[in-house]
Amino acid sequence: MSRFVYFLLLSNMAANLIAAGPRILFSKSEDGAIVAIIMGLFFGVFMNWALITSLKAFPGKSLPEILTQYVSGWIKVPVLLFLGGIWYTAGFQTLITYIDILLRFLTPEMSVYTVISMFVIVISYSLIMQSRNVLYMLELVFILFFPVAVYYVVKIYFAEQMNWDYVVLAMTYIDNPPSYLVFSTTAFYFVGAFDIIIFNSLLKKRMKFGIKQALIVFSLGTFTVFTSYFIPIGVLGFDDIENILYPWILTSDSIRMKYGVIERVVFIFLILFLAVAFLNIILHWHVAYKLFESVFGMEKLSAGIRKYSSMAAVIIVFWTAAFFITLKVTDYDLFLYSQYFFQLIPIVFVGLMILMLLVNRRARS
Amino acid sequence: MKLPLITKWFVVILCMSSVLLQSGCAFKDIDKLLFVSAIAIDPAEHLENGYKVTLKVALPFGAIKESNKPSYAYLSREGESVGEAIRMLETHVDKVLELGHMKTIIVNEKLLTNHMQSFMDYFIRRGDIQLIAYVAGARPSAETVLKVEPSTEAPASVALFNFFGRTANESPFIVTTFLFQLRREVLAKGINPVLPLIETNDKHDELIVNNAVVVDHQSDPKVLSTVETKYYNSLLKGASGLTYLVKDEDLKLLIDVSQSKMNYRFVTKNGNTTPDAIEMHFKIKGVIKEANKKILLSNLEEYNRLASKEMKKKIKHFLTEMQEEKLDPVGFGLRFRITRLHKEGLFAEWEKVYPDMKFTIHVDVALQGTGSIE
Repeated sequence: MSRFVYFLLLSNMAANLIAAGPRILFSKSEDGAIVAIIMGLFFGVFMNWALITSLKAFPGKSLPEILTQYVSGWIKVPVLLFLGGIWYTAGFQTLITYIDILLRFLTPEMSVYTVISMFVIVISYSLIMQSRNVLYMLELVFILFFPVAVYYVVKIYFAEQMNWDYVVLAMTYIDNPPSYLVFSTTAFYFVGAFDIIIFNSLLKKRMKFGIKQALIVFSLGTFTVFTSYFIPIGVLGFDDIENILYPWILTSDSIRMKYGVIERVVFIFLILFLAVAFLNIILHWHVAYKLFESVFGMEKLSAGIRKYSSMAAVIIVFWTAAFFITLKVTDYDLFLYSQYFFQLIPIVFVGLMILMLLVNRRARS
Repeated sequence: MKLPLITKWFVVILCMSSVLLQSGCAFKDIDKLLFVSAIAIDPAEHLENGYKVTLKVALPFGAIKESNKPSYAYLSREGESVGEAIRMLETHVDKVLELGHMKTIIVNEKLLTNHMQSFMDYFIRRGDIQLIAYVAGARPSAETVLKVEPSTEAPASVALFNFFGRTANESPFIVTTFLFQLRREVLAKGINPVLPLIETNDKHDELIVNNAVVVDHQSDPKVLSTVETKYYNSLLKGASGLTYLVKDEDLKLLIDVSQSKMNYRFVTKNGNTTPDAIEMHFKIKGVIKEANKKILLSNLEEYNRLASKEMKKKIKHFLTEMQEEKLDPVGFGLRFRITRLHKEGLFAEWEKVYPDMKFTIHVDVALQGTGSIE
């Protein structure tokens, strides 16, 4: 696998580490979370394997290009539109969560319009960037921020504020029947790599997904999911954890670095993960933009006009939706819709894989 | 590199609009803020079921060198709830009250009972109050304790912060409870939170922290004695710096504990599923710091035995006393819950067996030496 695939995977994991994911896991903490998480981990690795394998035959080609070549338009257009919607929502879900976090904890007196514009303007610019540059940006942010993020997360594991008794208490619920919601939420941690349905056009080499890759993906996922579920429990306690809106904010606020640069870790933590989340939104929206663009490729127009008109249309739609929905959505809505969205993910995955099977068969014949 | 025209314009517009956003920054200047350093909460005198909130506000001064004493302003107000009182206090000053640096919450001893959760809620819910703030009980009232300005307090520091958190004072008599920890333990079944208790002397120029309070949501809080606090904190919670006086007939030994380790397990009689005893093991290492007689290195074994015997007695006394009061500061109940798979009514089962639980205590003291003289 190309290193960029790992970066894509990790950026999604890191962003969801503190976004809506943990809260959904906690809502089922006494209701079958543990078994579902374990099942979700295996399913997540399977998803990545299936994706890489299905794209193996088409190095250097993105999904829209593959579909144009092998299936007819009336399958291609709805599929790409639907996937575009999914990707837009995936980025959007992170966006709303982080805007909310920003407003509540970092800049409580700032106008919500200012915060949204700050995000959306920069993100829109990166939407129309070339895919190649998006990948380079991804690598850059990773090199700058990721070591520090990992440092802080690992630090929490050894913090004295962490009480492992509560973690074990959470594990005593292991014999409950698994919950589908938790299963799909865990699977969502792994969908980062799916961004290569667009970025594949830049990855010219044939990719391999063997035992080694599977182990890497599995251990990354296990570390992320374990961290996002058990660390808040160890710090904030198990009873009543489901009532906390932003478990990770409270967790990082409970961590004290006695002799650190600043004692309160939460600010460093928020800024670090904000960078990662930003990246994640950019990636998802870039993919969504490319998917939509490939659908609206108005072939009769000249190349220049076609490009800019579709660009303008997509950006306007992205902006308006972002503004309207962010202003309207309450904490409860966000929680509810994120749940629906996560539950949709495994189904979308199965649909996509069936399509890829079909395409692969046609390509072979 | 040649950029297309539209991209150029986009970049220009982007840069210009970011300038526009700059002026919208919502931070207030530092000289428009008043930093609250501690909060005291007492029961209201004139309102039924209300609270009296007192804030300790650090006053700014030009240069630290010029001022010989730190200066504070105290604001107090009664209200139906803590939040309401603070809201009203905001109208008593000309600047913004900034709570982000507030690090100590002092609560009147009388309030540490069943409705604790209802007023602590305010602090958790507010985004700007740090969850690593210290919480402490106060006697005789939180306001009196808050207003004490100890003579050891240096300018630009708050004495109340230095007691806790083990950055300055590291006495084994001082329990540190953080706000997040209090919330966690108030909500968890099977453990009672323990808070430090701050007292002051008659002249109100010293703060004294050497007791602790065990909070339970049903009954009145139980104040631990100084010795009990020391045992709870150092032996059961692993705080360092314990010294211990062993008396045997006319021999007096002061033992300085450098390392202590505790573990325990539930003992079940064969056939039963619920335990009926707790077996605790303490491993203690230390040196003799002081003796009233000449002591011999070759007699270390004997001193070990004496020390173990005394400690065993004290720990057992502490544990049985807590048991009689139906309190569980160590968290045996929590451990009970984590050692078996969850099922309905598991905690009720524990509550039933805890009052009859027997304690078997093994203390293993290993003295390393007698200091620098024999």
